[in-house]
Amino acid sequence: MGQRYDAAMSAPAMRFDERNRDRAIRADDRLLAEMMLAQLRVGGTDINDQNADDAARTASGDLETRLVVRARVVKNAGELTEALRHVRHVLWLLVAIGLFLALIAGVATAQAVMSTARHESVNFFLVFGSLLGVQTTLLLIWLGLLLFARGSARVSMTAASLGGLIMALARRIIHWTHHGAEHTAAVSALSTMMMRSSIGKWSISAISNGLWLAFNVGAMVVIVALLSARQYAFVWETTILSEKVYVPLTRAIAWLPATMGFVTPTPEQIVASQFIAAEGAASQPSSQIVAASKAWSGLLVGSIVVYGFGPRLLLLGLSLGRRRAARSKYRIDLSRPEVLQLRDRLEPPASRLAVIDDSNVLPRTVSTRGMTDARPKRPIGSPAIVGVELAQPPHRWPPSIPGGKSWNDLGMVDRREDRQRVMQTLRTSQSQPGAMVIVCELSTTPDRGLGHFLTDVASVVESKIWLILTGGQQMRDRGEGGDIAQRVDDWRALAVSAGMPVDRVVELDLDHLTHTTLGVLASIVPPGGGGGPTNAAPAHARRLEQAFCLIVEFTRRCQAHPDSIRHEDQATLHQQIASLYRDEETSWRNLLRVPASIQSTMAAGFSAQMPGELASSLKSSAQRFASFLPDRLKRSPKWLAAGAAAGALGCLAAAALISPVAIGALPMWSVIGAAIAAVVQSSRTTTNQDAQESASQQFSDAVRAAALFALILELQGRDERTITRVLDQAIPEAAMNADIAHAADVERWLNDVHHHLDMALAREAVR
Amino acid sequence: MTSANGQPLKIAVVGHTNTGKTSLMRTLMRDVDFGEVSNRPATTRRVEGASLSVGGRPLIELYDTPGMEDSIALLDHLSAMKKDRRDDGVTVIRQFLESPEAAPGARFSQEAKALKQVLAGDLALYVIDVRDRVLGKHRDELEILSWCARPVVPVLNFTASAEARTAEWREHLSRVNLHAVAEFDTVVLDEEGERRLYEKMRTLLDRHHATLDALIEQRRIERQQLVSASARFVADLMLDAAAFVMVVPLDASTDTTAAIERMKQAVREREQQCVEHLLALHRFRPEDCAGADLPLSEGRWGFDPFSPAAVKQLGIRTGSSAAAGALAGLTIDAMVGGLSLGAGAAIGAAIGAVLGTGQLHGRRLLDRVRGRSELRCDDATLKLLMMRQIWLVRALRRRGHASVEPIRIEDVRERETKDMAGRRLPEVLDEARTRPQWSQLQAGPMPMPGSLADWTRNAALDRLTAEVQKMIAATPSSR
Repeated sequence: MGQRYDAAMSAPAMRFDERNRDRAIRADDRLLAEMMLAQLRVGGTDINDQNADDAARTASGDLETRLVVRARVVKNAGELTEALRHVRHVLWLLVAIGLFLALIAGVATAQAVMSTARHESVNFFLVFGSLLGVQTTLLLIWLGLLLFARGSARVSMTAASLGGLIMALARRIIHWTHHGAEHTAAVSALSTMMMRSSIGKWSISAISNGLWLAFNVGAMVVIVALLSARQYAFVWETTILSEKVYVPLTRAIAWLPATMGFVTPTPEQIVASQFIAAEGAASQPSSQIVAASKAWSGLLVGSIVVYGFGPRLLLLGLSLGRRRAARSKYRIDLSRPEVLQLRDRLEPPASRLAVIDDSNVLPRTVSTRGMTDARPKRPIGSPAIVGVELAQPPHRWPPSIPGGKSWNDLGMVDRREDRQRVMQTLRTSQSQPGAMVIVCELSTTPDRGLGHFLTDVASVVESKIWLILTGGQQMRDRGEGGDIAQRVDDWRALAVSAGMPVDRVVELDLDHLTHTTLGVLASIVPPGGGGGPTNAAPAHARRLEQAFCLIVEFTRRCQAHPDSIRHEDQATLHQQIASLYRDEETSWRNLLRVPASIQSTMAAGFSAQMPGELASSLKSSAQRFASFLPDRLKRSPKWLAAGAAAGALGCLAAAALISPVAIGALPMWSVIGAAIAAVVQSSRTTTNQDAQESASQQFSDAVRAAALFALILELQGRDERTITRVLDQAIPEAAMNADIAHAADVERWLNDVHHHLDMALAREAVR
Repeated sequence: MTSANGQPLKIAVVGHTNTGKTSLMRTLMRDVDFGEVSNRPATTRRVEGASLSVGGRPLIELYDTPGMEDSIALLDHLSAMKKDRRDDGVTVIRQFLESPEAAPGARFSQEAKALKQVLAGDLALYVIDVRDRVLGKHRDELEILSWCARPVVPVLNFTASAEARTAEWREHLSRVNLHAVAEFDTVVLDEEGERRLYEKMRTLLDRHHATLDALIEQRRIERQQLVSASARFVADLMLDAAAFVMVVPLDASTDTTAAIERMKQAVREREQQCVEHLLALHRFRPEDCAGADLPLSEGRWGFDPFSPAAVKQLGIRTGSSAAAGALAGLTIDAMVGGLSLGAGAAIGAAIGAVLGTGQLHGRRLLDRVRGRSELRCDDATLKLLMMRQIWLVRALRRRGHASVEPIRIEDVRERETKDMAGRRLPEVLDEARTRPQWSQLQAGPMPMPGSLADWTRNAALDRLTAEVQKMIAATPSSR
């Protein structure tokens, strides 16, 4: 209730207050504000004055009012006022001295021109010219400049006048006597005020006219005194001019004084007053001479009043009046930088309000994965693809899959109806898609609505769901290339919240497919209907990637029969990997130090017994291979065993390559076990575990061995220390200790290793 | 000035996630620190208010809301709630806001925050990233908003993008009966755009007509003041640089390089100061402007008409021994070349023997007789200083307060460069050349405030400010 009352009352109250304040703000207040601004301009004060800011902010009224209020309460307000008072005192003192001097000058001038030897006549026009000539000329120039001058001419005009002189003198005196920043600010503010308005002009002209007024007063007092106390005879003289010039001239001068009531000489008197040496005075009766002198003296006094005293008095009044008007009209220039600087503090254009609804808990998309209704398993069909909210669908839709498989194209999803259609299709179709590929754009912000859709799809599709993020180029075109990694992470987070594994989110530009990305696409789409070649990886993919694909394939098969992993299968895998590197066979055989004799051994066939030769060559290969491992891995029994296994199996694979035998049929697997055990035992003092390994351990051992084999084959051609160094980086601590228990883990683990290998190779290239 | 009932006008800023709601707030507020902006979903998760003031009086309250993300599901949910056909939208939405689905942490909690603000406000600004297609989620968001029975002004963001689908959006919006559409790119600030946004709001809010008028007027005045204040900073810098003279005795040749370096350093620092002032004036932070090292020309030996070496040097540097008049063009070419290369080195050596006013020659003659020489910035440097600052002001005026990328001074566009390089330096600067006491960089006592030098400098400053102001406004600010 109180609030409403305030709102209703505050408006008129404020207006009243405003009016009051407006009346209260005077030029002096503004001057004080200008001083504050001058100090800010030169950086003389710290702008941070919380007290002053607060006071100004709470003051009602416009910005200028706030500035004035701030100037009144700013920290050094007292000093500022004091400084201003000093400056004013100096100025007034100087004006007073100037007036006194002008008065003296007037007295002196008048005395000088009137002092003649007794009974000598006074030349009227000389007196007139001396007293009024200079000042009238200056007055006319001043008027002309006032009316016509512009810009800097006007500035120099005002500065060069008597008033300007006084001002300059005052400034100098201040400068000599006071060195404080406040005094500088006062002078600066005064001059700002004078420059930015007509205050300066009228102040200076008031002083100038005041001085001349004093001069005239002084002169007139002396002249009136002299005329009262002494007898003067006024004459005019000429050498070349005639009375035809002097009579109209005198009448013209006399016209204005005459209208004002002063006695002026008549034409006859003027003619009679011409100075004619000696005889003139005698030719006229003395009464006439006295009357003429009276008339001339009336003209003199009248001229001083009308041409000297009067105009100066008028102009003084005018200047003071205009100055006053200008002062009350003066407003602080609000577009100056220092004002804007303050405005941000005093009248912020925007301010923050409180935070409402401050709960940061984001709703989570509930994963329904695993809650799939128990329906009879449907047969696997072709892979399905759907595009979601694509602004620029790829040129080829659906994208072609290497290997000539076809998509089940579910089209584009933009609207609710599309979503319903796709869900309906997925729910009712006779077959389960071989893989479900959802294509989104990187430029789309992953939102909960999309997460919702992913969750829905996941709830009806049992096969793997992949999320392909296309359109990276578009994002880069927007200049947001740097955000891509973040965006992918956001999508991953969304996918995870929808119950998908992180690694199913793949950034893949469908418009710019490369061999590598095609390979990825191919690996996403499993062999339809369960058939197809095991070697699904495209031939042009990097051999290491193919090798890793083989490993993944292998683990998938193993996962189907997780009871035990047979050495035969492992050997076959190694043989497959080795065959990828067939071209460099000699090179890696040297690397592995596969003895040439093994060929003959193999060729001879050892179905019956185990030739010691073979056993020893397997063992040496295993040792050789283990020696490549960096120390860190050597210390891990798991890795040492893996290295040994890779060596032994590799040796066998090499032999099998040279003289093709059905490697799986070789009945000598215990030899391998022995070779591995020999290597492991040679470095370990105690063997606490036997061949009684669990299935999952066997599984992970097999993966490690195969991966190591593939890595070393990939790295061949480098010297041993380089291989060791790269291996060290390719299998970081996390990968080293990772638990590889499932096929899904294998893929992620291999990706990780691959990633680190790439980085290591990149570093190696820089070396 | 406040609205009819004395309450400020309340506006909810809503939209899909990551369309630039907080950016819009920042730009309207001129506050680079408001909220948090990123190119990620759900950056803003709470409702934060801000008030726009005129003369220190809050007139408008803006509320930034979390983005709506799951409008499709929400509309399904709302439609299900609307059992009775006669129920109006507002009732349903109010019911929804009461329901547990809208509670914090619940499924629609973020959307509920936004809708609550829409209902509490007088108007909603619906921010759209026009680079997006008109999708189902957008349609549903607009549908839900229409249930709220509040006037909606769609704000098209990123209209400056090459991918903008402005026409497509306008068509769809008009189909759902939203005609008062504002285009307002939060990253590229368009002065007209802001005014039109307020005008669009005004057409829908009759009651708040005066409020919005006051705001529009205030923003106009502020912009003008900003330009003139900026021009003043630039003019001040130019006077300081142009009038800066260092007198070096001719015999002590070892001192020269040090003197030149001192001079360059002083001018560099002065420019930096001006840049900082301009940034602060436009309410940006210093890190928003990544500056290159000032490509100053050598504060070379004063062009001594009697020294054959200097003339020879000119001949070599310019590749011609043409008269000074012809050199002007070459100087400018060299400068433009240097700029487009982004390096000051090209300019560094560039002549700039253009300043050949009679007065200066007279001074030099005198100095020569006295056995000393003057160092001062050459025309190329002055032009460069002025161009860069003017360019900076233009960039700052165009820059929305939501921009995250820093401004780079090297990015001066070719056209603008040529446009300015073709001009003569303002005459005031020629005058400044002959008045060392005008320069604040000058060693020795500053001209006393109120002194003749101070007065004339101020008059010159006013004139130059007016000229710079014209230059800032000269080229159309649109690209």
